[in-house]
Order: sequence, then C-alpha cells, then structure tokens
Amino acid sequence: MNQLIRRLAVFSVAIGSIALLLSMFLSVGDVVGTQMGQPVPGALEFTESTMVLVVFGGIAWAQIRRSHIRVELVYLQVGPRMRSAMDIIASIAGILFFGLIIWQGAVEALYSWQIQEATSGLLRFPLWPARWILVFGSTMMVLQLLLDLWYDLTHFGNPHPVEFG
Amino acid sequence: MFDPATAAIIAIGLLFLLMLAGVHIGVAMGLCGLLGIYLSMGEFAALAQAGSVPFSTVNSFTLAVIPMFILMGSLATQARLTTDLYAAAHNWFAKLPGGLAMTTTMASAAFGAASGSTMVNAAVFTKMAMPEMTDAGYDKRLSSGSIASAGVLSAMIPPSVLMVIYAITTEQSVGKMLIAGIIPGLMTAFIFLGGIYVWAKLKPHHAPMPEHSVSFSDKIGSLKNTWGILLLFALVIGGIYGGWFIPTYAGAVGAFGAFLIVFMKRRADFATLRETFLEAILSSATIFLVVIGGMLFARFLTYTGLVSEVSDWLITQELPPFAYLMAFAVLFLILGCFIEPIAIIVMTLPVMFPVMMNVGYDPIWLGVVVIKMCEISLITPPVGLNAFVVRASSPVPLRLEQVFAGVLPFILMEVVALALLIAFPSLVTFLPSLIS
Amino acid sequence: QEFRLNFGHYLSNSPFVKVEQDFAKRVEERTDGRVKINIVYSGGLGKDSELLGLVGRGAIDMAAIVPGYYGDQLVYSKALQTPFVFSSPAQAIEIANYSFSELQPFKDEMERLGVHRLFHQPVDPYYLTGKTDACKSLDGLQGKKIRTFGSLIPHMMSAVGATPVTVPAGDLYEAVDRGTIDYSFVNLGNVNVYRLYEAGKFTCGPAMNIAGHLVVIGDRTWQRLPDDIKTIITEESVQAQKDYVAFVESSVATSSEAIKAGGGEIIAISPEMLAEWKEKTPDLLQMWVDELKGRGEGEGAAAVAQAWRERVDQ
Ligand code: NA
Ligand code: NA
Repeated sequence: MNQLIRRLAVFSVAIGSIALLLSMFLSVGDVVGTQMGQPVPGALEFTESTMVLVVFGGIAWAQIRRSHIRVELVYLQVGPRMRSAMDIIASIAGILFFGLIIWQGAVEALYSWQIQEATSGLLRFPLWPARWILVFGSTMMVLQLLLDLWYDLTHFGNPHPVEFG
Repeated sequence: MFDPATAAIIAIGLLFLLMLAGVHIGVAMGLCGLLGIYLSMGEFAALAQAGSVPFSTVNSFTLAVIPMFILMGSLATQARLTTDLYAAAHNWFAKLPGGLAMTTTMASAAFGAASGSTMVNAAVFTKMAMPEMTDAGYDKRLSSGSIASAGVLSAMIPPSVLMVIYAITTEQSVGKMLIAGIIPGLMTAFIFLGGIYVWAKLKPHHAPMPEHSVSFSDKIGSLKNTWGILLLFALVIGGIYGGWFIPTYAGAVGAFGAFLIVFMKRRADFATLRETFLEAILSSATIFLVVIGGMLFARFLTYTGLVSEVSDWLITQELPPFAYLMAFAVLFLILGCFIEPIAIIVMTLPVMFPVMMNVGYDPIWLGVVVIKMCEISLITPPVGLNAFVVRASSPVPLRLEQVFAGVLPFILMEVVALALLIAFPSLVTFLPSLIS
Repeated sequence: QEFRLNFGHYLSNSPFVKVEQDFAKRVEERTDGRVKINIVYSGGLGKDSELLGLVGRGAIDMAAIVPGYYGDQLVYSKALQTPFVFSSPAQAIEIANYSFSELQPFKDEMERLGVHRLFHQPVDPYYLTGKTDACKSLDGLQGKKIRTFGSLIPHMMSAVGATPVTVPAGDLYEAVDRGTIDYSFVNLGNVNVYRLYEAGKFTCGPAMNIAGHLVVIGDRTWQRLPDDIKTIITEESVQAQKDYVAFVESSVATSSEAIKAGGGEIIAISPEMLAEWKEKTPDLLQMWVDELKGRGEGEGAAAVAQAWRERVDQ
C-alpha cells in the first residue's frame, strides 16, 4: 500500500512537471506570438488546468515528504508521546478536510462531466478533467494520511523525526 | 443554527487549538472555516463551498505565476548562478570587516532577482556560506543570522511569491507591486551591510579577517560571470516595464529564461532537472493548501458579516491614520511570531485593507510595508521559517538557538528599514509612479 | 429580522451597483425589516465563476450572474450577450424580459439551475480604448491587438483583421499603458472606473450593446419566503428593472463627461461603420444556434433567434 501510494504520488508529480514545462513553453509562445499577431490559443486555459494538476497532484507527495506547513511551537517543546498524539490529531483533521473535498469535489466533477463543462473562450478547453484531478489528488492525500495515522498509532511514542525545509 | 458571533468564537477557538496541536495550517483554517459556515449557515452552504472553493482557487491564471517564480529560482540554482554570484560578492567584500557575512548578504540579494522564494535563498546560501564562515572562524550566531536574514531579501526584491499573494488578495496590479519592491529591497540589503560592519567592529573575534587578497582586475573579472542573473532580472522586470507581456506571464518568461541559461551553461542533466521541477511542485502544493484553507476561512468570516463589521467599527473610530497603521503592524508582527506569512496575509487583509484604504494609505505602499512585516515574521522566534531552514540545511553543526540569537540584530535592522519606509513613502512609490 | 438574504456579487461596491442597493433598501423598508439583504461585493462569497453553482445549491440566497461565464449551463441566457444583435442597452433588456416571460427554453433553464430571475442589468455600451485614434475606422483596427473575452467577441475582432488577446481584468490598465495590447474593449463605465483613458487617450464606440448580469434568487430561498414578501420582491424587481435602464442611459453621459474631464477623447463610431463591421462579421446569432444544435437544442435555439430577429426589426 505504502509503495503504491508513493508510486502514484511520484507519477502525478511527474505528470505535473511535464504539464508545468509545457505551460511554460505555451506561455512564452503566447507572449512571442501575440507580438507577432498570432497568439497561442488556449495557453491561458491550459495554464489554469495545469495549476490544478500541480497543486492537487503534488499535495500527497508533499505529505509523504512532510513538507506541509504547520505551527511547530508546541510540537518542538513536548516529548515523543505527546508528539505522537499531535501527529494523530493532524492526520485525523487532514482526513476529515480532504474527505469533504473529495465528496463535494466529486459532486462537482460529475456535474461538470455531465454538462461537458468547458471554458468560454474562443477555444472550448474542457474543465471536467481538472475537476477529476482534484478528486484524484485529494484521494491520494487521504490514503497517505490514513497510512500516516496507522504509523502514528502503531509507533505511538516513537514519532517521525522532525525535518525542516 | 448558531448566531454569527457564537459560530465565530467556536471556529476561531478551534482554529487556535488545531494550529497549536500542529495540524497543517491550511487544513486547520479550511476545516474551521467549513465548520463555521455549517454552524452559522447550515449544511448546504458548507458543502457547496467545500466543493467550490478548492477548484476555483487553484484553477487560476493569475496565481499560476507562483510555481513559475519558484521554478525560476530552482532553475537558476541549477545553473549555479548562485555559485557565480557568491564568488563575485566574495571578491568584492571579503576584505571588509564581517566580509564573509556581507558576501552572503549581497549574493542573496542579487539572487533575489531570480528567485521568488525566501526559503530557496536561505537553503542555497546556507550550504554555500555556512562551511566557509565556520572555517574562517566566524561566530555561528553571526554566520547563521546573516544567512537567514539575507534570505528574506528575496521577498522584497522581485520576483516574489508573497507580493503576488498580496496583489491578488487586495486586487492590486502585480506588476506595480513587483517593481515597488526594488528600492526597499536594495535599501534593506545596505542596512544589513552596515549592521554587519558595526557587529564586526564591536566584536572583532566574531569575524576574523581572512588572509588572502584579491586584485582589482579579479574583482572586475568575477562580475562577468553574473550576466545570467542580470539577464533574468532584465527579462522579467524589463518585460513588464516595456509592455512585452502582462505581469501574469512574467513567471513563465522568467522560468523559461532560467531554463535557457541552464542549457547554455551546459548544466542540464535529467536527474537534477527532475528534482528541480519536483521542488517547484512541492512548494506550490504547500503554498496553495494554505491559500485554499485561508479562502475557506475568509468565506466563513464574510458570511458572519464580522469582517465588514470589524472594518466598519475600526473606521468609525476615526483614529489618526498612523494609529491604524501602528495597530495593524503590531497585530501583524505578533501573529508573525507564530504563523507563516501567507496565512497572515490571507487572514488579516480582508479586514484591514479596507480600513487602511479608508484612511488614505496607498495600496502599493501598504503592500511593501506588508512584505516588510512578512520578512520580519520569517525570522522572528519562535516560528521563523527562514531560521528553521538555515538550521535544517546547515552542513556544520548548528543549534536553533544560535540562529535565533544571530537574527536578533537583523530584526532590529528590519524594524529600522520598516520605519524608513513609513517615514519616506516615496522610497516605495517612486518606481511604480514611473510606470503610469 | 426573519430573513437575512446573502447576496453574492462579483462587482466591487461602486456607483455601478446603486440600482441594486436601492432595490435591497426598498425591499427591507417595505417588509418592515423582516428581510435584510446583505450584499457582499468583490466575490467575497464566491468568485464570478462560482456564483451560479453556489446560489443554485443554496449556499447563498441571491447572486449576480454573468451568463458568459457559464457557457455550458446558461446556454440560452448567454445569447443575450451576443454582439451585433441589439441596438441599445434598453433594447437588450426589452428582449431579455420578453424571453424570460414568454419563451419556454429560458424558463426551463432557470428551473434546471434552481434559480428564479429577478431582473437584468443593462450594461452600458462597449468601447475600444487605446493610445491612437486608429479605432475611428475599421481599416485602422487591422493588425491591432485587442482584448476580448468569451467565444463570440473574438470573431467580431478577427473579422476586421485585429488579433484577439486575452488579458485578465486586473492587468488591463497596464496592458494598455505599456502597449501589450493596442485596445481594451470594455463598457464605457469601466473605461472611467479603471481610468483606462489615462493609459490610452482615445476611446471609440459604441461598438457593442448586450445585456449584463442577471440578478437571481435561489429556488430554495424563494420557496421558503412567505407570499407577501415574494410579492414585494417581485414588485421591486420590476421597479429595479425600469430604474436600471434609466440609470444606464444617464451613466453613459456621466462617464463620458468624466472621461473627457480626465483628458480622454471619445470618438463616435457611426451607425454606417457599425453596419459595415456587422456585415464583415459572421452571423453570430446563427453561430449560437449552430452551437445549440450540437447540444440537441437546435429547434429551441432557432425559434428563439427567429423571435428575436422579428422583435428587433419592429
Ligand atoms: Na525575489
Ligand atoms: Na516568526
């Protein structure tokens, strides 16, 4: 399970990297093209959807790498058992929050897919794939948080070492 | 259903508890925001907002500049522009009192012109300068303090992720905001140089003088390796200024420029490039989680009407403008001790921005003041992200207390810089006024 | 107070929304304070692209909806934003009112999305603003970079050889000022509010008359209101609709004066030039009908277009 989530997370970050690279080229192409009277259609819309892939594709990987931002004021002062307890609270809060996002995100994604939602510009760029990416990324995040919760419970009093940066 | 005030007390109380318990800031704000909406408006509102906000926040063209600015900094690091900058600054400053600390300050300020993130700056220069200063016999408080503080210069010197977030939160022009930071950023760098000089003069054993000397022609010679950074700066700022592209595209153009430099300097290898993109995505994901959570919490506060009530109440007090500014600064700096700056921006500005505009402050000037306070919050204990980054990425043994002891004088210098910006607003408004 | 209605607005609090503020005030007064309408500006409760979903799902009670943002939901309503169909804001509103009261597809659309239409914003005419007076003739627009939005306006610009460019509203002033685009294309009121006349001296128009946003109330909220309050809201909506048309007509004059006082120059586009422009552009209303054919709504759309053309020609 651990390995599967990890691979999926790496995979989605890899797709995100490629999309980010493409978005960079398209944007520069649009800048140059606009100067020459020939803008790149859909550069803006592609960039927007790329953002969903970058953020929600990266969110589980950020959790694996423990890089999400938290207030460590108390965390750094307390002993290992208390740290484990705090890790458990953090995981449960994350599961609740992303659980809600998955549920409602899926409602929106389904509707978006039914009406074949697309951007309203000259180019009809489909929006529903990005909405499903949000659901997929959040699902990976919840699975990773469940793994973390399992780790916290089975290693109570022996939490992950603290890292920064 | 609860009345808005009760719902607000419950949601804000729980927010503080969850944040202290170490829950991710974005998750804590998002969860408490949704709980607050549920308590005050009912389930339809809470569920619909949970479905709507995350997508609409992220699916944004304007915010797409953020991963690009981060990418630009990471690519510039991969092109080893940082190494060249450090070498050049070293040639110019090493013979001065506290010269190695000055070297770091100037190299980090210059790199700020290519990097949008303060943490990237701190991490890069810790790895480069910390061992060198330790070998030269520098006191670790001076070395780590100067690196952590020099890192925050990148928040003011464009490009800057924090500035984009301010501009979007307050609906200001991203381009004007970025250009407004140039003079205040350079000014702060020079104040740091002065502070380091005084420190080294007062405590010479903290900063022993190195033996070697550099010829003038070597000094000049080392400058020609810094063309990459100048090119990037000219590309991004010149492009906005010259109207080649809208500010929203500045990130993509800058990242593309850095990408080209990586190839021109023949420093492109697949593994490092992959790592560079990975870091950009990692940072973006962590930043956006905070922004999404902050947005949900802000929606809740808007529903309750408290934001407008508090703003209106503050406005009706008819205090002198300066009193409002001081109150805002004190609030911001206290929050800044404990909370990460993006979260403070998205939490406080919906209330404070209308108030500050009502008493007649300039929105771009206020933005620079806010960025200055963000800089301070990045190094104030107990939660100072840049101090954490320096400790975590130091190749030599270093304790967090040493870093925080080392940044204290720099916090004072930052307060001086803040006072100068308040006393002389034209330091901020001069360059943007040239645009229009 | 029994009913606090949260009204999500995408616009900021400005003189533009005065009619809507007056509407809210009158409803509050006539219901003796039983209803309080809380207008939240600048997307505080939801961005322009979110409001329809939020009001339909009951997250907010009322909203100002720009049909152009919801091309896949408001498939009929968005036709009210087609260039070269209406000759004045008042006519666009007249057709809008007729459509929502007489034409079944428009009623069905509101029902499907769970909202009840109260009234329409007549938006003041659209003008080109830029640094040169080349916009005074169609030939002058050849090769110019012009800011557009939506799916139809780009056709109108490329028809005269201009390049349609997408620019976020927040970047508009600088884009004109720095020459990233040659002309912006916004309604006259926004030329004034964004002070675009400072970035580009010359403002040419009117080039486009369309209907603006719809003010809607969610069905869930509407059904929960007692009949006497519904009656008051309905009556005040009719009044607001009348006030809005008069307001927009006078605001064109106010904006023109403010622009001229600020050093801007307004160049009138003659009806002949506009007719020629329309001639060069593909029939955009027919393009809309063709698009709806692809959605299985071809007959309904054709009937609407037919009814509109007849009414406009009268
Ligand atoms: Na920077
Ligand atoms: Na701090």
